[in-house]
Amino acid sequence: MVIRIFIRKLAGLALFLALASLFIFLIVDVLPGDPAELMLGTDARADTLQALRHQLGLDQPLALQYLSWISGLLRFDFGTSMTYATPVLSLIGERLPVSLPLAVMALALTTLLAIPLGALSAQHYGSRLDHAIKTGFQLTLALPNIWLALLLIMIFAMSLHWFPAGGFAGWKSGLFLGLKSLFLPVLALALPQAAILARIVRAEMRDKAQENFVLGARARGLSEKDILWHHILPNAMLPVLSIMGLQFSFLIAGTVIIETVFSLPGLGRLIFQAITQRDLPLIKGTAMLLVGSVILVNYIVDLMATLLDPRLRRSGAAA
Amino acid sequence: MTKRFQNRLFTSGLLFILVYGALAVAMPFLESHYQIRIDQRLIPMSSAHWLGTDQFGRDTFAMVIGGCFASLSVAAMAVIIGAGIGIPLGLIASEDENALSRSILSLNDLIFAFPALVIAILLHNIFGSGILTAGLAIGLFNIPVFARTIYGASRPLWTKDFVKAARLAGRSTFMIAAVHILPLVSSVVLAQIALQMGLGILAEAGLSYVGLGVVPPMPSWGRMLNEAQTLIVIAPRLAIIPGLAIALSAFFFTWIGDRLSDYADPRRREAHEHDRA
Repeated sequence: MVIRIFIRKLAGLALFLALASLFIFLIVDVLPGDPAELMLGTDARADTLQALRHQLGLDQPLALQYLSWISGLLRFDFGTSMTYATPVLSLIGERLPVSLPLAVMALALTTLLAIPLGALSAQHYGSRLDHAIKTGFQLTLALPNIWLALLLIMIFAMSLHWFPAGGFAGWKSGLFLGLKSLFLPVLALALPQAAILARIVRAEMRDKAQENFVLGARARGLSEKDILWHHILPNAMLPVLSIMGLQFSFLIAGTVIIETVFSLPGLGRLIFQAITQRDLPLIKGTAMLLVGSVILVNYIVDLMATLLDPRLRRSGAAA
Repeated sequence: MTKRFQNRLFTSGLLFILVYGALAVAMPFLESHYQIRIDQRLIPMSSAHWLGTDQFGRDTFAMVIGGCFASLSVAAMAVIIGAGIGIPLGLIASEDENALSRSILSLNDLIFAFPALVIAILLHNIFGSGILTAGLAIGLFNIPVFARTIYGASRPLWTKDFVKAARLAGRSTFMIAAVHILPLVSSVVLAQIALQMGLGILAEAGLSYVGLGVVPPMPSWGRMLNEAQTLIVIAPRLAIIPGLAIALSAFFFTWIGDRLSDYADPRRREAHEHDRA
């Protein structure tokens, strides 16, 4: 039963990735007209243009161009960057040791802050403490993360000298120095996201508090604290999990921008260099990677939700 | 927090939006104040330049006021695209559970996988940087947001008796959606519009910061942050002021969105009335 759901969802995942790649292909390769001219400029010589068209396979029919691109993707060949003359995937691979830990730590900190604060707010629902926390969320979620990053730099880097203002020490110089240069970026990414997530935790817990299993637990004489943390919170986790999947898309965009603020040598810098150089294979490759990872994360979240919730499992099998 | 205080905040929020809109209209009249004037570089706050000038001699106060235009027009364009396409999609999908509604919902999930930043990067090849690229990128991302909200709010309404009665009376599905369903979900729509305006302002700042948003000479809060970054030690005000403008406007829009969605959800409204008691 579970395997059948898994296979059906896997087909959905494949379809999504295919459609996403088609969308990227259409915007980058088809809509601008002549990508070769876009890359070299309008004053490029005709034979240079022709040579580039041939090199990129632009002289072939569109359907063939698309098929050769996705068949490459399937073999983990994301094409070759024009400016670096290096495979796109190895360029991305060089940047991941910065971007991936940054995103993962930001997600972890978001969760670690959001769940306890959201639960605390729900526990004291309607009290002064709840209102104070709620107002705090409201103010924090409206903070532009770039500004937050700059404020953190002013306070913790420029005045207190606790953390570097930017740049990356590299993992080779030690775990501590690496983590130290990622601390402020992680904080700038996580705080506004945590405020958004904590509000969801609070609202979901309020919803779940109305349900019969809470009444049952209360009738069995469990303490309110016990009910909140051991009965309401686990039940509220499922919707929270799916929201976290949706937040991943913001996290990706935020990571790319925050990397720029702290001049970290991550995917962000690679992408913005690709834009200024009009390096289309690199733009296409990184866009596909980012969109693909959002799709994959949401797929995993969806799968986890189905496996964890018996109700969804049954309805999934019936459909 | 009392109900009266909340109402007052709501009114002041609305007032803020009106002022904000008026300031956005003022942008073209301030043009002479944000011309590059190297002889007036980095003047501190004074009576001639209330918030001082930046490294190009542009008046920071005029830039902040002028920045309303880019931020408001991009956010508004994104909401118009998102609501204009997302609301009909959500309404169509909510009518019945069939192949059409399932494909609309899947399409939503697909668009949702494209962060606004990625869409902007892709569109940059075609349109370059500017209001169009930023507005389109955030707007495309807004489509599934609106479609989901409307779908969720209107799905339970289709089984109600008044819909059955309208069907018996011979009303077409389109008319039922437009005349009976849409007005009932209008408060949800309004709340979502306010929320997406706030998020759109934040997104515009991000895109302009990395150079995918509006281009000079049009002032933009996001680009002001970018330009201020190298001067963070000598003139921190250049980074603090535009950030405050972004945070304040995003805060007021999301605040109003929240109050509206409290109002739209009777359960939460009761909770608030309960608070007062």
